[in-house]
Amino acid sequence: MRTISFSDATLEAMREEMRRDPTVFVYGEDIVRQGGIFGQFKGLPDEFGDRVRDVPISETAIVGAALGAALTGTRPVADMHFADFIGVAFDELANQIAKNRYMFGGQTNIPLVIRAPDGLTNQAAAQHSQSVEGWIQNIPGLIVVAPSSPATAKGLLKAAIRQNDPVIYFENKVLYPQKGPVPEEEYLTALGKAEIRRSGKDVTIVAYSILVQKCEEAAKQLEAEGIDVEIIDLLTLKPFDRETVIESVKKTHRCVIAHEAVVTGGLGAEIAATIQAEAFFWLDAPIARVGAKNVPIPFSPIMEKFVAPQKEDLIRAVRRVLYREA
Amino acid sequence: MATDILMPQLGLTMNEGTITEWAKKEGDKVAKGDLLFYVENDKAVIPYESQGEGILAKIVVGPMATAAVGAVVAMLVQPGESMPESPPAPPAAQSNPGAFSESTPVSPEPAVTEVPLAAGAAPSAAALSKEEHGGFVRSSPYARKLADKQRISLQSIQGTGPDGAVIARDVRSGAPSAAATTANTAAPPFSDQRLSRIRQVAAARLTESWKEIPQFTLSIEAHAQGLLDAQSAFAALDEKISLTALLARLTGAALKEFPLLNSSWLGDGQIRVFSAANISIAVDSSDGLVVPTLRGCGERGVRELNADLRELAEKARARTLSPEAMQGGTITISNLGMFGITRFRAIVNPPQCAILSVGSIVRRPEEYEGGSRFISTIEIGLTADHRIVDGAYGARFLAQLKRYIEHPVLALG
Repeated sequence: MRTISFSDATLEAMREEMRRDPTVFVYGEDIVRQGGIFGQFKGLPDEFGDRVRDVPISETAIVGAALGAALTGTRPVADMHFADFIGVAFDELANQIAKNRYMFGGQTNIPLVIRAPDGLTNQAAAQHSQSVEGWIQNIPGLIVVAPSSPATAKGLLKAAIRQNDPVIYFENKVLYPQKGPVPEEEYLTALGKAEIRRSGKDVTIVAYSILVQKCEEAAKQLEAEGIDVEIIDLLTLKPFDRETVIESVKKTHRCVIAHEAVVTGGLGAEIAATIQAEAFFWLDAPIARVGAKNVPIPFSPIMEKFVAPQKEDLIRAVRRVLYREA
Repeated sequence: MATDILMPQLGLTMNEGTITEWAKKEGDKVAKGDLLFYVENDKAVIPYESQGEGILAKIVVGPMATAAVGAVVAMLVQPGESMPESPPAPPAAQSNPGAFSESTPVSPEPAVTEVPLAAGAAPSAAALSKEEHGGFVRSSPYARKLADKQRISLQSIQGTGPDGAVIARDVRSGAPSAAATTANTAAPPFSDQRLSRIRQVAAARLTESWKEIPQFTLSIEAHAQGLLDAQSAFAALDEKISLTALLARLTGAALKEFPLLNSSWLGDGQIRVFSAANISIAVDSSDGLVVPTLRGCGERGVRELNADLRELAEKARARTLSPEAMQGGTITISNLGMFGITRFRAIVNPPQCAILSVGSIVRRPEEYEGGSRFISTIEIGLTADHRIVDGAYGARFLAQLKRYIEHPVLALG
C-alpha cells in the first residue's frame, strides 16, 4: 500500500468529496493564500476556485455562516485554524448548530463539518495547544471525531462530510507530517465505530488521536514485562463505541483511558462511568485515566512535557491496574 | 408460576440466617423434602428441606451470604417455565433493625480480615450482625463475580490487592493464605479468619460466663468399677450402653436431692429451679461444640436415654439437629474421657448453674488391706455458679454422685 502523510490524506478526502458533490465547499483563515497553517489545503483552490475561500478573522462569522450554508442545502467545511479558537463561536456551535434540527422538528439536515486542529506542538503555549473535545462533549446534537492516522484521517473526513448532522473533526497537529499507509481506492471510516489497534488479554487501553501511537509504544515496552495490552482507537468520540469498549473490558478486566486533553471532566470520565455502569462486575481494578494535568499548557518545554501525558505515564497506569505498582 | 423460597425462621429469636452451603445448584430438579441448603443461625447449622417441587431457577442468596428471615433466598419454577426477568431483591428487614442482607452493605470499613471477637457484655444477635456488616470483604467486582461462580467464600481468600483486597488472581489461585504466601512474598505469615456465627455466639456466651459468673470448681474421684459392671451387664445382653448415658442417669438421680444445681440464674435476685433434669450433652461436631438436650434424665430408663443420646450425637455429627433439640437444657455434662483427659475444669454454660466435667477411667494402685491393688477410677468435676450455690452444697452433691457411680443400684432410690 502507498504511504502518504496525514495532511495529504485530509487533502485527498477534501478533493474527492468536492469532486463527488458540488455543494461541498471549504473556507477558513488563510487556507487559500497560505494553504492552511499546516499545509492541509495546499493546491485545493487550483482545482476548485472559489469553493475554497479565505475569510476574515471571525470564528463567530465562520461558524454562523456554516450553519446558514448548511440550512440552505450545501455541505460546508469550516476550518478553525486552531481548535482553541472554537470558543469564540461557542454560541453558534452550542446553541444554534447543535440544536437547530431538534428545535425545527427535524425539518432540515445540518450537514456541516468543523475542522479543528488541536493538541500540543512546539511550545505553542496555553492558547494554541489545547485538546478541547471536553468542551464539545457536553453538547447534545454534535458528532465528534478524532483520527489517529493518515488512513483514518481520510476515511473519517469523507464520512463526516457525507454525514447529515454536524461533525466536529479534531485533527492533531503533530499528526500532519506523519506518514502511513492509505488505500488508493475509495473508502469511508464508519462514524461511531472504534478500531482495535492491538489485541491483548491483560489490560484495555482506550485512546484516540495522538495518544494511540503513544499507547502503541508503551504496549511494546510492556510486552517485555509480559503484559499483553489491548488498544482501542475510538475514532468517534461522541457517540463512542460502547460495545467495543465494554467487550474488551469484559475480556481483560482492567482499563486505562488515555487522552491528551485535561483529565478533569474529560472524555475519560464519561468512558469510565460507562464502563462501571455496564461492566462493573468484570472489573478487577479501578479504571485509570491518563491525560494532561489540570493547568493551562505551559510554554516552557520542560513544563510542557511535565503537564502532558507521556509514554511513562501510560506504562505506570497499566502497571497500577495490574497491581504491579502502587 | 415461580415460587419464592424464603429464609426460614428456625427458632424464635432468629432474625436472619447465613446460608453456609447449597446442596442444590441452579438448574437442579428439586422434589419436596429434598435437602436444599444448610442455614446457620446464632445457635446451629440446620439443614433446610424443600417445601415444594420444581426446578431451582435462581439462587438469590449465595453461599456464606446472610439474609433476613423471610427474604427470598432462591426461586423455584415449574418445568418449561422461564425465569422471571429480575428476581425481587431480598426485602430489607425493617422490623429487625439489627438484621442486614449481604446485598446492602452500608459500610466498607473496617477491613474484613480482622476476626471480630465479642468484647464486653453479652452482644445481642443484632450486635453480631453489625460486626459482620462492618466486615464487608474488600474485593474487586470481578473477584467477587469469580468467587460467586466458583462458590468460594470471599472471606476464605487471602487478598493480595491494595490493602489486602481480594482480586481475581487470588480467587483463581483459589488458595487461601498458604498458597498466597508462596506466590507473593509480601503476604503475611498468618491467616486471619472469620469465625462462624456459632463460634461467635459461643465466644460471646463464654466471655459472659467468664466475666459475669463467680464460679468455683470441685472435683472428686470415684471408683469406676460399678459403672464398668453396669456396662458389662448390658453387654451380656448384647446391648452397648455409653458411659455418658449412665452418668446422665446417675446425675439425674443425684440432682433430685440437690435441685439448686439444676437451675438458671434469672437476675434480680431470682433463680429458676427446674423439676426435670434435662441435661445438655456436649458433643464435638464439625461445626464445633454443640449441646443437644437429653431429657428426663432423672426419670427415664438408661436404655431409653442411651438410645436418645445416640440419635442426638449422630444428628449432631450429620448437622441435622433441630433448634428444639438444643433448647431447654438445665445442666451440662462434658465428657472428654475418650480423649484420655483425666480431669479438666469446665466453664458454666449460662444461664445454667452448673456443668460436670468427666475424665477418663484410669487404673491406679490403691492401698488395700496392708498391701495394694489396682482399681479403676474416674474423676468428676463440678463447676458451679457461686451466686446460686456454695462449695459445701456442691461437695455434698459430688459425694452423692460418687456413691451412685460406685453403687449404681443406690440410684434406684
